[in-house]
Amino acid sequence: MSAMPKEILYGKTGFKIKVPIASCTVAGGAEKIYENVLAEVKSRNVNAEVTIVGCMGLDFIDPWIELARVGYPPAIYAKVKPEDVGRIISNYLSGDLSQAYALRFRVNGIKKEDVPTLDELDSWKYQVRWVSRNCGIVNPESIEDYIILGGYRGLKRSLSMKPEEIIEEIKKSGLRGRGGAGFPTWLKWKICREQPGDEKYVIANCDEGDPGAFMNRLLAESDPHRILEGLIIAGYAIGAQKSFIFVRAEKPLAARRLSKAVEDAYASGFLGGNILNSGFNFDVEVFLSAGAFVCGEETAMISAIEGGRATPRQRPPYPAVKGLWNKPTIINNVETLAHVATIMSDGWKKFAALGTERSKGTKMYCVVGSVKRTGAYEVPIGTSIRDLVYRMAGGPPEGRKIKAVQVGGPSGGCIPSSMLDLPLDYETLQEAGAIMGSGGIVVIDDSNCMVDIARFFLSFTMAESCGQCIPGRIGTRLMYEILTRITSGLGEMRDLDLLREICTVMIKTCLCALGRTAPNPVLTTLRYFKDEYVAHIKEKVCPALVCKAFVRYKIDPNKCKGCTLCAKNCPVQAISGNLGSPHVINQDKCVKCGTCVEVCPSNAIIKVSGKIMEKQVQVMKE
Amino acid sequence: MHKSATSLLASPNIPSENEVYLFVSKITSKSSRNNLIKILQAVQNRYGYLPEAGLKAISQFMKIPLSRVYGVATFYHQFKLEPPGRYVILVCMGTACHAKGNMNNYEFLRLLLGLDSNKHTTEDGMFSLESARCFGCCSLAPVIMIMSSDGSYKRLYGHVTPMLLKKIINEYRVKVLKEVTIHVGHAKRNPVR
Repeated sequence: MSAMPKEILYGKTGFKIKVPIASCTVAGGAEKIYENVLAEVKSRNVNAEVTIVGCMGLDFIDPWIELARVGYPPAIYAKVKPEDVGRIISNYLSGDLSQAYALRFRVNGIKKEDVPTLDELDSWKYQVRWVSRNCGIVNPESIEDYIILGGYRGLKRSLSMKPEEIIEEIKKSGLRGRGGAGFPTWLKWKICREQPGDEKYVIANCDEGDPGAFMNRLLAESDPHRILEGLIIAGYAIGAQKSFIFVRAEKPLAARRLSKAVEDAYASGFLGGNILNSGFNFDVEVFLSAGAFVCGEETAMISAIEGGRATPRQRPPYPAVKGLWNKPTIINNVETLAHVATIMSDGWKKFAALGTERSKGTKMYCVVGSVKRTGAYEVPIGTSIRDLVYRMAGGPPEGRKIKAVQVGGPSGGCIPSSMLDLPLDYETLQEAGAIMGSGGIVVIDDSNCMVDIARFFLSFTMAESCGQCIPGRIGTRLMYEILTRITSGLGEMRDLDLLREICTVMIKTCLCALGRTAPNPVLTTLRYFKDEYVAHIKEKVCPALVCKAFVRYKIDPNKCKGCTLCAKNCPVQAISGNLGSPHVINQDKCVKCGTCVEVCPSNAIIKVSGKIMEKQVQVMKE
Repeated sequence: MHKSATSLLASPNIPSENEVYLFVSKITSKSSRNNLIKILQAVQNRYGYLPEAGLKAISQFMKIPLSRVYGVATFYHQFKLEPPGRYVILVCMGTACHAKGNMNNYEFLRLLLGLDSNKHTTEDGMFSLESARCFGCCSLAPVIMIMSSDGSYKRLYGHVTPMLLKKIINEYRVKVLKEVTIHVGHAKRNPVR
């Protein structure tokens, strides 16, 4: 880290203050912090360069800022509030670093206090930051920053090589697609390169739709030029002249930063005609997706760019043969492209030295849900789920127990806590019933119901099904309806067989991968958490007290002080009682929203398992 | 008086068919190779939703059957066929938010705003309630986003609970009321035509 150029570390003035402006930090108030930093710098008359950076992936410390002055160790402050800014700057300049969260490195002569360096933090030291190396360090809106740190070196090198040599080098690196399926990148490129004709296309897939995954957004917001560099190299390698970056309209900052990067790359001669005097012409257009999960499927994305409904097409022919406007097209995930840029600048050997026998290099994973340290972590492929969830993300919050991890988004599966030692690689996950997907890991604890989680995913895939093929359209709906039946107390044991049957049909007959993988959440929960299904069906209870049909809210008359807060805040006026005397919940009116639990100052309201009576089931059926 | 003033200003601006027609003719004439999705996005950016007149005009100018225009407009989440409320509340339905109980928050907001599965905008046109896919801010789960209908204002709220939502909604009501009062006062002093 200390090998970083002085200009990037300390700025031109010798004192740099970095404020991360990314979706995640902005949500935490980073824009106000940025304003305050500018105002403080002005009013104190310190000669500091205030710069925006992206997100470094440690979301649990958001919003953070970093102060770095020549002679001082660069210090990162966590969970900054706008009003803290002045105090932080004063303390830092006075040499008091005790409030810092971490230092980038130590500087001799400055008392280290007890502040760790980044490399001493569990959330950092096990990471191998390969594509995310610049995240949180460079200004994502500055091409100069990227170039100072070796940017576009890979492109220069690539342009001096033959396209076939580049494909060969990517082959040696062992890079596989980071979008989910893990198809070898070189092979896709080679097939496309070998197609006749001059009109070919490259599409960068930044249509991150998996709930719980934000690594593409993070990369695009924090280091967009790396993606762009990889994209240009891909275009050169397959012989394309035009490309699209497909970004979700719901991620406006990512789209804006990518557009700015494209603009700057044109101005610097990395895009356009005769790039770096190589005779190679290449254009990039940022395409704003109108939002549909199915666009993540390659052929659906092509339909979207052509301006129609994003419905997948029969494969083969694969897009590499017949894609956008029927021309050979490759679609690579932006993380894959970022890897391409890094491999071509640093050489394939370093990349191939990481990972497992069959999957090389690193992968970014987002660990969210029931963990202490939510964030995006880049680790070698093959790292175990346990290492990610416990060592890096810190395990579950106090008092909670991890029940399962959901890997790979709505197409992935739930892996039980007993199998956390599984290494994260394409094949192992597939055997366990999940998929790598984009790398989203949602940690589910004992306060969640697995049947409800399966139902949640089916509600997602049902809504997102494009409606084209019958198994996809009707299969997802049928499964959703069965799961809804089970979670509302009307399930029967034969429903489980029906679920399995639908899953089998969908896996065998759906047109696209979205449909074929939609059963995964159901199959894995059935496989690993069958007892929860049985509890819902046979005993009519929800063990985790999640499914509303099986829970009741109750006021403990011994604890209730009669403050009337719950009655006042109940949205359906289901609580009655006089001031000073215990209150009662009218179960017929109660919608089980949990507001009363939240407002009760004396913890008198509890959630209990309310077994559904046969009579009630009968009424519901009618 | 306040109440009527609020609904007066909160009600969405419905553009005239003529204006929409002119706007679409302008944007579709710009380049030869138009992309339907981009045109729809331009119309929605301008009006906050896709007015029926806009779809018809697009069909006419781009020589695409109206059924196809409608098919694309209803396929993607981004497109709205109804004018949204002054503020659109988006409740995140990502996995992390779901696991942390955002469904409850959604139900609570529905009750609070008097909406149901067929009604997404409040009587007074102040709020629309929608569910959204992941914002990628899972560390703040559960989250909601409140944005103005034209998208110029956006704010994300993290770690929301029913009580916090109640407070937030009230803040917006007060805010709008203030804007309206200022506006009405202003209009009185400078009567428009």
